[in-house]
Amino acid sequence: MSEVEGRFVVASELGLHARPAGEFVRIASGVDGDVEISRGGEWMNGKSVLSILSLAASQGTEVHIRVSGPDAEAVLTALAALVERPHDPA
Amino acid sequence: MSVGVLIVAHYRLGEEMLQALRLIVPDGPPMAAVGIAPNQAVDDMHTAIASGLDEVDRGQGVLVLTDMFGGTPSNMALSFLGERRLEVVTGLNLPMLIKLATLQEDMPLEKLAPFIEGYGQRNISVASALLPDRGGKAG
Repeated sequence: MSEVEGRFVVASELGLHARPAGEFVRIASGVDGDVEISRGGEWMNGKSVLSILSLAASQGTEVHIRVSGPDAEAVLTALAALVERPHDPA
Repeated sequence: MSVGVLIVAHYRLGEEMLQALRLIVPDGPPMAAVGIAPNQAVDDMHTAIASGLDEVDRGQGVLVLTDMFGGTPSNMALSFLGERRLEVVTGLNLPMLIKLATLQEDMPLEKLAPFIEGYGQRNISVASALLPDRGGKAG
């Protein structure tokens, strides 16, 4: 069981809004371990859309993500790509 | 989740809420919505709700979400109490739907109804109080 973490800056001008939060949860739910996200305060459950939305992470916000589990590295990479994505896919 | 979920609300409110839900959680469990229009005959409303209940009921009962206690959609849904295994929770909001669509635990109807009532209430906020520059928890 490995644990990895990183800090990433929200790129989208809409921030980490509902649709990417849903995507975040879909990726996070695929890991057999914990996924947590924070913006420097309380750690939130990365498998809950509403918990992620409660961060109110707007464009330019640095978020801290930590993932534990067998595929932690790959999951963190996918989550980082989502957070750093400038636009939602059409 | 083995309990069925049916929204009964004014006009297309339920359908539109489900559309918003599917944008955020595309692969959630099936849910259905029944819209109630003004001047709709009582028998038609009853038939439409009965059909919706049949559609979502997988044998473990149905959680009916309505837009407002005392409104016709709510009153019509309540008319099925005692006749079908269902609970009616009023004051539907999108966080309740997202929670139901992503729920990991398989709760029985009798436990699910008060849980989702509380969840919906907790997710009504004065939004500025959540923002970090106002000393909210997001900071």
